[in-house]
Amino acid sequence: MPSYKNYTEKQLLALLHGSDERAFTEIYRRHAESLYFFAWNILRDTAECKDAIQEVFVWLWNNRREIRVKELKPYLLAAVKYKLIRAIRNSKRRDEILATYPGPAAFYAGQEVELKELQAIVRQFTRALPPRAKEIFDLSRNQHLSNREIAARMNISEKTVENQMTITLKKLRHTLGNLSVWSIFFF
Amino acid sequence: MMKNNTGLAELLERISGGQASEEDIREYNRWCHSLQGKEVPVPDFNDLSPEILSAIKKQIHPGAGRYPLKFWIKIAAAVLVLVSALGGYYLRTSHDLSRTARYQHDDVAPGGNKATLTLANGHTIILDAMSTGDVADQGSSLIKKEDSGLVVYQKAAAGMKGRPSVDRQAPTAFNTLSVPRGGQYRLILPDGTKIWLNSASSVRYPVAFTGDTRKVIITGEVYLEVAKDAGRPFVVATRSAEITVLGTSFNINAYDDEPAVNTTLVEGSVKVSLSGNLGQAILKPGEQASVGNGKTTIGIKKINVDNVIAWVHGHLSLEDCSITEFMNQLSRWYNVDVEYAGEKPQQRFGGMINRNASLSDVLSALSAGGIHTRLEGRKIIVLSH
Repeated sequence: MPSYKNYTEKQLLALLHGSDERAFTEIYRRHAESLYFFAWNILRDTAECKDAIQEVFVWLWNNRREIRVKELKPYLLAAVKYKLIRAIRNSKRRDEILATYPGPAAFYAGQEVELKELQAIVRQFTRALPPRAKEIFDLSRNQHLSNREIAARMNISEKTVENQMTITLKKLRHTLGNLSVWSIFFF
Repeated sequence: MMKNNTGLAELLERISGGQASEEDIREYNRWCHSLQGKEVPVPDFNDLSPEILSAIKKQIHPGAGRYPLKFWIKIAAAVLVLVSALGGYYLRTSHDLSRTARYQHDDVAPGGNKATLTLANGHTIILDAMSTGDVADQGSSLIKKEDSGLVVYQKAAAGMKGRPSVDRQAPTAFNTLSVPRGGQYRLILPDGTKIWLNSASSVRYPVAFTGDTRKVIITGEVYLEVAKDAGRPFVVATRSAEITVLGTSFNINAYDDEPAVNTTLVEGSVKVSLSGNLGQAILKPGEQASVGNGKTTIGIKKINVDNVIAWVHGHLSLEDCSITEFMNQLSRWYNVDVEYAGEKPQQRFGGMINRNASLSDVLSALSAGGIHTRLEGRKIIVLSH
């Protein structure tokens, strides 16, 4: 039986969109190592790196339906960079890491690598959602409650939950651009 | 030095607090990349990878999980189950919906496990309506519906008595398994050969293989994993080609509305012969033999085998196909008709669709690429621009 190894990234993305867990595993197999090394070069701590990579992939799965990108790697790398911010703050080596920063303007000669993706990710994660919208979104996407369960828990109508989710998703989608996964149909 | 530390700490705070300027993010990004590619001893990721993956898997299956892991393990154990039983459920709900929905809310659910078994005496059994268990005792073989999408022929043990004898027949009697549009099914023959039938396909076979060849006749598209038996070659007959096998896995696409009969070899070796013995060719794994309608030659090319047999895994895989080929696939799996309101779009398509997707999802994808359609009941109308 053939495996997912020969599928293109576009095909894997389309399958991931449809909650195909084997496609997810194949994406992990292809990208986890380089993401891990990226984190390692900054954190240099196995447990901290493992946590960061783990969080990124769990986030990828939880948001599989909203992902609208052509290429996964820059997107995943941007997510790792974002996760690193918290990891650095909580790191055992915090001061050591902070000391590697030579000060602003020191990198002007350097090239911009995947900056757009990082900006999009930062905007997505830090977008100021109203507290109630944030709570609904979290209950739905991270705790996997149904609209009905969320309505009961927050003592609001199911319709309100549904409307709020629609608005939130629209905002997130806007942030990440409208590159539909489905555009893969066209050469 | 101290100042710099504070600088980065503050930068991180601004970013995570949502107050970062574009320049802040740029600065952080540059710093991240400036630390890459240094000579740092790195741990061997191969040892860590499975550990991280299993921690991830645990988290994405919260609690008991919505689709319990056990469900999937069961499937893996049965090895053969490739189709979710949900297919039938979707279909039922879609019927209910389509009666009440207005046009713009119409949708068509994907196909599911559906097939009809025709015995030699003309007796037909609608398999999707049967519960699992015995279907019929045919003397030399016992036919059993094993699960929602699988029918199995077993050699009857000698002296087996007391079974409901629906239809006792001579061992050379032929049965036909037919799958309608919007259906799929799997079959295990008494020799252990496994056959996957795609939508709008059929296979005709003897209830027991007695001679020195094992021969079946197919229409539509099937994938076969032939049980090894060097002494008795397995022969698959189609409308224009015959494929002789010793023990191998391959796909045959012989739909009448496709321009050719295509045989794709996954592993092993097969011989493709033109009907009437006009010519033959031996395929190597990864090759596809194409016999065009009315042609007297066999074309052979290298092909991406995974794309060809993606349907066996529950995907619709498309590679560089025309609107007609694309719509043919949708028509078979969603059991819909297709009409063109104007000229046919000339684009070529590629990509992959999960066969559990609803038709409206697929059509909205098409529309994202500039091909607009309207769904009226069970008919797709392809609009001209």
